[in-house]
Amino acid sequence: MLLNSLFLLLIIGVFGLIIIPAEHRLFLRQFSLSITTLVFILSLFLWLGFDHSTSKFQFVVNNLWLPISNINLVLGIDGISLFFLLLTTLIFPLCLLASWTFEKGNLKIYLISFLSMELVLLLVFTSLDLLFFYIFFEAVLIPMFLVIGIYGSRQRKIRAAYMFFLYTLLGSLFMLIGVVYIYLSVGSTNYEILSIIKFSNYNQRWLWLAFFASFASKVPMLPVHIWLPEAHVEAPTAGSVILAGILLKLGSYGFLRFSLGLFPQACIYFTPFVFSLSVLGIVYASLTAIRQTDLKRLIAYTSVAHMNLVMIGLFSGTVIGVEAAILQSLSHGFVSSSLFLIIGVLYDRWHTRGVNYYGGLTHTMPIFIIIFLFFTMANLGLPGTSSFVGEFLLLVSAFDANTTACFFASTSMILGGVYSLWLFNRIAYGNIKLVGCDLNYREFVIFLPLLLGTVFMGLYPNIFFSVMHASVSNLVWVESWL
Amino acid sequence: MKFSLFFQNDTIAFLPELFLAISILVVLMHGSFLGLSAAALYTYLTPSMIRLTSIILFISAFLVINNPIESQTLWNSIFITDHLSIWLKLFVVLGLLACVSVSEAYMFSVRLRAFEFFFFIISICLSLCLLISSYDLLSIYLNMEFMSLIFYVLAAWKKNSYFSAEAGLKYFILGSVASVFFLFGASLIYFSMGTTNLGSLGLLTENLAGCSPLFYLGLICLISALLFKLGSAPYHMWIADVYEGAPTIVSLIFASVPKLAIFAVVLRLVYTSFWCLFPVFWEDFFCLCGLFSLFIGCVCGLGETKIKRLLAFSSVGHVGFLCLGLASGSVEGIQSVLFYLLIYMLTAIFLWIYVLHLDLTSDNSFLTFSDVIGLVRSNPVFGLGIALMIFSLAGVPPLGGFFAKLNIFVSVIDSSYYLVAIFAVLTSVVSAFYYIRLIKIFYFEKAENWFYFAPLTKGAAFFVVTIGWTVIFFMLSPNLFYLLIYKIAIGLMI
Repeated sequence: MLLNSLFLLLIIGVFGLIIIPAEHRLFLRQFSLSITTLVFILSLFLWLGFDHSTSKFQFVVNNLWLPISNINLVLGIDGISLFFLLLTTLIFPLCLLASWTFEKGNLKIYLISFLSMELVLLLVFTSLDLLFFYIFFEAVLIPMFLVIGIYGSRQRKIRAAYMFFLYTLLGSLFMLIGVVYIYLSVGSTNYEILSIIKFSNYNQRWLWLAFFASFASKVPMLPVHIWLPEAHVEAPTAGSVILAGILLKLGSYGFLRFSLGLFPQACIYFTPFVFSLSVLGIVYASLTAIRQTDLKRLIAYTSVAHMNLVMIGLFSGTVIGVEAAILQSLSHGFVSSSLFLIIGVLYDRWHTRGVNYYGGLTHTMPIFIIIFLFFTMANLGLPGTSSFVGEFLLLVSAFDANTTACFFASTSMILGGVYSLWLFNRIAYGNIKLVGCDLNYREFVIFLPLLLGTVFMGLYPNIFFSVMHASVSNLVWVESWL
Repeated sequence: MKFSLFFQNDTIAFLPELFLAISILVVLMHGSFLGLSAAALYTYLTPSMIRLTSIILFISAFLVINNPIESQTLWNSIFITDHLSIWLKLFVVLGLLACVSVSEAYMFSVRLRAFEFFFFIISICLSLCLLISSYDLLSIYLNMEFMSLIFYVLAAWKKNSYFSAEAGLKYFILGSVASVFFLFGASLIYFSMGTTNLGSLGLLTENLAGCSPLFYLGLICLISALLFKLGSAPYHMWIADVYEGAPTIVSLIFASVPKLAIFAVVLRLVYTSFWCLFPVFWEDFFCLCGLFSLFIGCVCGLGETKIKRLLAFSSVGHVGFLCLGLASGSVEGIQSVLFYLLIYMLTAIFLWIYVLHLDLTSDNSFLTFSDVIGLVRSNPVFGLGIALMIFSLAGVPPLGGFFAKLNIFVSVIDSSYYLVAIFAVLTSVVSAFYYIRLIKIFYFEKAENWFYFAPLTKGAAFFVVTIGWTVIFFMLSPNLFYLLIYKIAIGLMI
């Protein structure tokens, strides 16, 4: 019932936004901010009431949809999806706060797109039915396409919107064939039923490939990652934050829940493939990030590198690997969103993203630079931040699986240091090129939860790990390798 | 024919058609006596005709639904009434009701003063209802000709436009050739089998070991003629020109209703009468036509910049999906075809209402991309509705069009046509590009001059909203649709 109330609240939010006339801009923003904050507070109760001792799905709601075909909207959370849910509900109010002074274009379409995106994302992370997971996985494309295309900053946004839409659509339609095949051979798309069924090795490999086509472009893995720099750069600030913070996690969540959960033998079979692509992705993306002159594009490439490291952890075959992958996803959600919000702060003031325009900001914007420094250190994996916990444990599990892959993956920490420090150096220190106002209260409030979250996860991650233990152990030991 | 039950069964089951036939005469008389002066023609004949036609169609919808006769053949087995015929007739009548209700503004703007247009609409309704109920090859031919002759005239209606005349002539010549092929095929089948009744043909071909080549030739001619009328590749050459040249209200009728009726005929031929030939003949044929239609629909649509031609090629692509659904040969196949037809009809009516109003505002009749920029500023809600409808055509969840495509994929994969499914997926993605290009033009481009969009009339607004709610919020309660379609499909398979 708690889950149903979250969605009901968001639906009320969307209808309210449709009804409120467009002139009351402040009221529209306040209304949407209050709805998303309320959803966040309600989702905290999910964490509060979560039972750590079992791997079964909790807060399960079964909304009947098409009972004759055994397809129902079953919603529930377990240790894996709880934190993705919380990340989503946390990031959206911060995004809406960040776009408070956004004057370009129609505000109502913007807010309606964001609220409907939040609704669909919450449904993705909680749906326990394969068909509905697919439907909502794809349904995110529509509002994101509109946000990138309408509210992007320059003409290249159209190209970015096309690439975003078509890369994901192509992969996902292959996944549709896989979903339909599973439905026809099993008779139901309920995850709890599917996790009991063992598919034959041959079937598993084809289905894994079908699902891989879809999730690989979301992660993003190497050959199909090109939409990411384009979409991140051209989207407005809040759009980039949603993309980096949440939409990228859809890929790794899909791999975790469906590929690892339903096709374990195929995962073992394809592990070298995934490792090669991921290692290539890490090294290539990090090296490319060093060369970038556009702030957002640099952070976009670092996102590629981080998520590929997550993929190595997922396919390592150990509990530590999977848990660290989830934690690194969360941490990347915090850190990367903050970095995009930081770039948004700069863009709000000077409307440029070129690195060579910025210099010597420490002198006039010290608080901003402190926050920027903290998140730069988090990006490269400084101990004490959540990113270190994630990366270190991922490298531990990768060492367990394949030491060569671990060796090349650990260059991510070195190259990460290179691009992060060099970026920070060029912007913060040096000759003063631009003078501006420091962070105002609203912007400080945006960064505060992300800052606290990163520190908290970095200093005492056991709070997060203890939630995940039961579900991840069930996934890795019971379902996969037995 | 049981003469004793002539008035109990046959006439009662045919009440909608009889009512439509009598109302044709009424409309004709009403128009000719009221239209004596030019002033009367222009000022109040058209609105009164619209209201009269709407009432006639509404009453015939009631008569269709409340048909007390269950599944049996009528009129010496030339016609049949079963669930398929009742529900498809209902959808045809509702589709035509939508077409009539939105036509008022267009008729005034284009100065279409002839009242015969409404006479033709009711005749289309009659012919389509008869076609849906046909159970004999000759009756199919007669009703198909009846429908096609009306369509040829309607396509050439605009007397001051060369393109309309060209469209009508092209449609007439090509369509007549197709009808001739149908007759030829029917005659070959009569030659092989000795009967033209679909039910008897089903019984005769039940345990057929091998057929003479003339029989296959007859089948090919027969089904090619029907696919021609649908606009499936490789018989798609007339669609773009006819949809573009005909007056837009006529294109609205073309795009929405005939497909239902002709698919009813195709379904009866494939699943009732020549069912045992399915693995031999039908599945390869429909797979091939389906794949080719998908390919043509996606490739030709990419190059189009005129809106009406774009929608015409997209309809070729959709007919491709429908053929693939037919090729699967299971109950899921029929279900998916009927469901897709319904969703497609709704989406087509919505989009062509939009094109109709675009036509009202633009100077020339060629609607290119530059005419559609700026809808979002003048009508934001309607623009959002159009964008969501186009996403539905592209097959993006969670809209209705996705569920239609999902059903087709379920039926295709159920019959293990994996490569066909992969090809359909690839063409879906390529055709999604030109759909989102339309949305890009609506939302992302800046208009040079101020955009004016003709305000929707009440009738148009009613249908737009109803169809919009049905397709966009389809996901919330699909049970009704699925159960209805299941009932129809089972009725056909037995």
